[in-house]
Amino acid sequence: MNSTEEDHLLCFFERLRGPVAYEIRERRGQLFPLGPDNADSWYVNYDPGTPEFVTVETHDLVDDLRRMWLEQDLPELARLADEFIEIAGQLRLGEEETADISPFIYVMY
Amino acid sequence: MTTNVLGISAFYHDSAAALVRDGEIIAAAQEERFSRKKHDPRFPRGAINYCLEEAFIEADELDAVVFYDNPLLTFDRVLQSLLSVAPRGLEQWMHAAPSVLGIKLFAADFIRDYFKTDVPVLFTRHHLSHAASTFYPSPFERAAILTMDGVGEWATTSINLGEGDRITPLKEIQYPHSLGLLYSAFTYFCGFKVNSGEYKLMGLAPYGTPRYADTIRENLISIRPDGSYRLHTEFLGYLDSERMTNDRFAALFDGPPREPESRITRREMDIAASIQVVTEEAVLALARHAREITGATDLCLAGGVALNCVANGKLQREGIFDRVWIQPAAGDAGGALGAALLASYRHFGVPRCVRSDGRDSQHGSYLGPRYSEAEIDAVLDRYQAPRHRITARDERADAIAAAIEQGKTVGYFAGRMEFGPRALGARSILGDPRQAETQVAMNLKIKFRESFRPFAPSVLAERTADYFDIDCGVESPYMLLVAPVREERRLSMETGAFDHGDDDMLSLVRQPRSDIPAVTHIDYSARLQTVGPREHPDYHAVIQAFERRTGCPVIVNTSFNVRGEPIVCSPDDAYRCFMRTGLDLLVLEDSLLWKDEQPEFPDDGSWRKTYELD
Repeated sequence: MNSTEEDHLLCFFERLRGPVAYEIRERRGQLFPLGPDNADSWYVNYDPGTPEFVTVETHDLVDDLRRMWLEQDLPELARLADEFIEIAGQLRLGEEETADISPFIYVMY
Repeated sequence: MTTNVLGISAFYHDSAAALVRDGEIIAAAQEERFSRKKHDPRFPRGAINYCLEEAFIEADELDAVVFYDNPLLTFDRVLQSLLSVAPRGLEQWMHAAPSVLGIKLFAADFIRDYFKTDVPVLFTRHHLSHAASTFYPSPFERAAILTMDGVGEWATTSINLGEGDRITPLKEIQYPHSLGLLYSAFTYFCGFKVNSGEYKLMGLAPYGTPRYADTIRENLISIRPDGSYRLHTEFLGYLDSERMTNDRFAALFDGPPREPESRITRREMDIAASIQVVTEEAVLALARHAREITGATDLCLAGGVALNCVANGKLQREGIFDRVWIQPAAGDAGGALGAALLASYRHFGVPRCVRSDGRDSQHGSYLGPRYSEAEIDAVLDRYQAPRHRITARDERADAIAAAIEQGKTVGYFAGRMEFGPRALGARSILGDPRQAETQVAMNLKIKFRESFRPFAPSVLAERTADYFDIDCGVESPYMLLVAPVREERRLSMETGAFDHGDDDMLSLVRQPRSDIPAVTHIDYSARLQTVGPREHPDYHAVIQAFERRTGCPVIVNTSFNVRGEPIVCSPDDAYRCFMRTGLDLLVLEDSLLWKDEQPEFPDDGSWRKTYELD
């Protein structure tokens, strides 16, 4: 990642963690539970309509992300779908560069 | 018409490829074995090439390539995770974004560019891949399927029902609540490497007492009677930092994390014992609920947590299910196999046929490459390595058994390489389990690893009950069950000093604990591999020969590598490992090589630096 890409990523994160995160949390509260609550069970029932297979094609990424986030009632993210994919295109790594994946990414993946 | 499906897991950890033809597993291998980089996360080009070679096909003959998870959902989770902790999380974003955004979203392009074809590329879900990897090769027509790992997309645990060729996901636990991540947090805290040191933590547990178990139950994980659970994430670091735990976590356990490679103290032993107990409680509760909601009498397990063979042993003995089958490549590598099988049955409509003899379809997990006599000779000629060829199986087995009986350690390379993290007699180091010194000597002189770590026994299947307390008929061909050594074989141990606070684990390790001390852990348990004659006749013959010589149907079996090195794959890997370590004899198929007959091997020890410590 060169310094321009790094700056771009940093700027984008500033927007994410500032206005976007604030807007989402203001409207929805916490995005997912961070600890136990009073529910009798903490299982999430599976949606039987979920397909077993999907395709994830580069030319569909913006639409796929937008649809996914709108279905989750996250229009704030859906609006940013094209920007995410633009950044993704800038960050796209070659095969050998994948060797540099940090072990810490384990948790993030 | 023939259907060839290639499954791939990549860009996470333990990249792998698997090829399935008409529902039959043709080949499967982890990339690390070819690239020689442990847990290699890169695109598995070596494993893919091998799979295509084994199937005698070109890339354009593939009907589909199936990626084992869904990168869109993974990205969604990563992003929501960051938003949940904003304004914190900058470090994680800067580290994660290039990998998440720059690689996985373009996996389909990656695959087509590599193959230079327009092969259809499908994506399935992480836990469905795990579920498929264990149900389809299992001997069951109908079974509950429990998958547990760190995280895959959003899911961390799932309960499914497998029936015929259909897998119905029922319930799941979602990130950040994860049994796998909780266990990894303790792995990190005890100074071991996340995602590879979990095995050490499990091995350390019997040295400790679970005095922190209540601390964990009260502060870190709450488990409902139905097995569902939530973590108290304020004690964990992985949501908003680059560490698995934080200062609050440390305060619960009397101080900061142990520095890697520093002396292991009683605290780490007790922590290991405590998280092991709580993990077992969670696994048993999940299994009970899986039984309740599916009504199935058999269970299939996969996901990294399913490599916790101590918990598996408890589950087996608890009798919640009649039978339990565990995918030997339970971690992410197995996802490649699951993805390929799922597509074969569900996308291409290949009928699933459960074997009529009641056995599984995993082929002993011997799914990797085999090397011909000519290939082995070519390598040995290059090294000008003297060898003795013994082509008769029984004669060869007896020569190997004789060496083991004399206290020699043997590098054993025979047949197709194993798929999954355990060596099962194809790429193994063998030794005499009756000698108390074997454990320390093999750990320090051959494996160059911590002396407390136990070795596993391979036992003739028909003699298992003579040595281990295991239900009649239960087999453990993949070394995924722990069972106690029989009471009458145990020897009492002098534990006074250790019990009174001396942390020297060697004082326990050096004591004989049974008549097979090298494979008896200090709690008298053993991680079993039962060996029958079908899947690997050569290996079975070696143990039989050892039994004929000594009366003991058990040998030490540990993976053929040194610490931090992937298990050997090729004859070249094997010869180099042989010459760099204290191994006495190398068996390369029907060639036997004695160390003292070999020419000098230039070795400045720099190779040790190429292997990251695990």
